[in-house]
Amino acid sequence: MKLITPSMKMAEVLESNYLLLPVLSRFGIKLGFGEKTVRDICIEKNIDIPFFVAMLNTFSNENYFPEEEIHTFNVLAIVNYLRSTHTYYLQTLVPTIEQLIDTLAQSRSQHNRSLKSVKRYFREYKKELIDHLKQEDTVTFPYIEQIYYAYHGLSTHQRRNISKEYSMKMFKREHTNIDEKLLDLKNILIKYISGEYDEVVCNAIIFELFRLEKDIIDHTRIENTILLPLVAKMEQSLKCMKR
Amino acid sequence: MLNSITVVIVSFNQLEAHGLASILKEHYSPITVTITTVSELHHLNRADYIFVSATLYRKHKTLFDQYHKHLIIIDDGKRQKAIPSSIPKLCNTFHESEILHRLENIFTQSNRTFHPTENTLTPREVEVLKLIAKGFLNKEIADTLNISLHTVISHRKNITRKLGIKTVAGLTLYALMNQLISPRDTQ
Ligand SMILES: [Fe+2]
Ligand SMILES: [Fe+2]
Repeated sequence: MKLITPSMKMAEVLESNYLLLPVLSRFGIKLGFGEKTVRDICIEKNIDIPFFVAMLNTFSNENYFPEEEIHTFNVLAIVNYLRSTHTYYLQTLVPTIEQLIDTLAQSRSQHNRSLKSVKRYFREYKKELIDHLKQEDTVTFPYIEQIYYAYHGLSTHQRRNISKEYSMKMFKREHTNIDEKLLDLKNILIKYISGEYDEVVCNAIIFELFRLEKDIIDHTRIENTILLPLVAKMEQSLKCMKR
Repeated sequence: MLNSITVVIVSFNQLEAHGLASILKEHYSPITVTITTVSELHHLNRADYIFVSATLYRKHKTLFDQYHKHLIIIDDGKRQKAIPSSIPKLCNTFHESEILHRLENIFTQSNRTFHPTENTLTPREVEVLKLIAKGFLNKEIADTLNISLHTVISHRKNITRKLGIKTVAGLTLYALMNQLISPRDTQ
């Protein structure tokens, strides 16, 4: 897939990969682009152009990494993007899948007991996902924001406020994998579903699972390879300043 | 349906041949294992895998080389002359877990012609899978089935590779969907 650039028309970007649609929403970009380019829209919405373009490319191409631009990224902008991705999972994608799985487990295939197990499996996965996202929303991200303000504000008061119980080292250690179970569920349905089941609903589930899996893999990659090193660097220089 | 593998072991060393045969039967059933010396060569034509001792291989190199895609050499781990590096080797001084590991590699090497065990679980693997799905830990599985921890881990790896399922939750769902266990077993 060719790289997305600021001079491309937004409509064409979407044409090249319609899965980017939710990514645009996370930046508060709404449809009705007309002939506007990516740059036009970013200026209108006051969005950092290199960061936005990097997020589009990271999402579209799993081998892409914003080598040159990464150091210009604003950590708060990354956190905001990640937070709105969490919201998208919790309020849109996961409930959609959950509803579809409920339908699958209820429908005419009443006697297909294994579908009840699928329902239970997803319910448990959802719990785990919620815990993961909550931990980031309530511990990791607020910590990163503190680091950011201390780093840029440089007041001793703000520096003193930084939690001593948390660090990016801990994040790295505790950051759990949340895509494996999703991948397993998708594979199990694709390879091993049997008996009577609603095909239309099951296809829709697999389609949404592919989407969620891809999105989560991209999300985790941003957390681990973009956010983590940037914040760890700030952490390090704050430590040096204290001495 | 499980595919059966046909294996021929060519060796004068009876202990070695029967030892290998019993390991193969334990882990790769259904399997047909024939132990022979060089006198009965008709067996070789039907074999998926031919295990041959290094000594016999060297003696009858031209003959065995006709079956080179199916060959595995049993040696004593010392450097062997005249054995092409393309032929996989199994060392008779290995521990069981090492032998299993080697066998797994040999049976799954993509340039080999046969993949008889690919994607079908052996009865033993099914046993291990059931216990994983019931929430047993590796140590508990080893104790229950009276096998070593290494063997349990090697079974787990094979199960995951064959089914394409990585997580315990996923394996449990697979076991439930295939009625290997009942939902009551997982509570
Ligand atoms: Fe996250
Ligand atoms: Fe995360």
